[in-house]
Amino acid sequence: MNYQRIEKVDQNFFQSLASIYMSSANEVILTLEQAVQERDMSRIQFCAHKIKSSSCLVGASYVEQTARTIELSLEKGEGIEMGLVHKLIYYIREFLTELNVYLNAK
Amino acid sequence: MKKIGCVLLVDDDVTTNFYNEYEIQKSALFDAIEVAHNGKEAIDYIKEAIETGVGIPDVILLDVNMPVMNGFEFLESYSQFDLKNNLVIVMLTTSMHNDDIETAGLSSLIDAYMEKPLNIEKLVKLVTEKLIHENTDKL
Repeated sequence: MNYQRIEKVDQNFFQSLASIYMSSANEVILTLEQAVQERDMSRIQFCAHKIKSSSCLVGASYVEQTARTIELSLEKGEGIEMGLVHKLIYYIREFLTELNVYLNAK
Repeated sequence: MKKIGCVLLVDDDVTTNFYNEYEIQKSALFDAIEVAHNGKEAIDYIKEAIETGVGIPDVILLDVNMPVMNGFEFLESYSQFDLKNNLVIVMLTTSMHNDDIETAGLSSLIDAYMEKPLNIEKLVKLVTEKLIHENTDKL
């Protein structure tokens, strides 16, 4: 992840963007966890789509790539391993932790 | 640069809306930026703007995948309004559905289809050509 490149534009802007992303990503985690339990593929696809588009704005590339893979597989009707959704949740959490540390250091 | 009245952002993702608002504000191309979180909110906003004559959008940036009313359902409902000649609609999405891209290409209401994240230079170029140059040509 390359915060410096993004943040260079405007530090205040990046901090606000990151805070909004963090709040939204936490909601996505909760929805994904519930959707996994219920094996609700349509909600998983919707969450993957949602987190994919906002992740590219904050440099969360692993999150974006994993979400893209999930969305594409479900879109093609191929189905997915639930492990991949757990991986997505893990990557989101990991990114949020890193982001939090980074923002607190500012 | 000559300013354009109002841009309406239609997207359910708050992070995307915040980013787009920031980019659009920097461009200084618009006097006002309005946000709707789904197609229905956008339709309600446009209805009210027409009734009051205030805040009628000149440009709409439209997402495809939204809850309540998606981008294509919005377009269906939007066609009831007689604004299409004076307005630019840009479908702005990360949607990978081939059907969506095809439908967007076929819809006469859509002026352009852009991939997220918003490329502000592209948008400014498109809007300037469509709204400023075309209006100047008509004078």
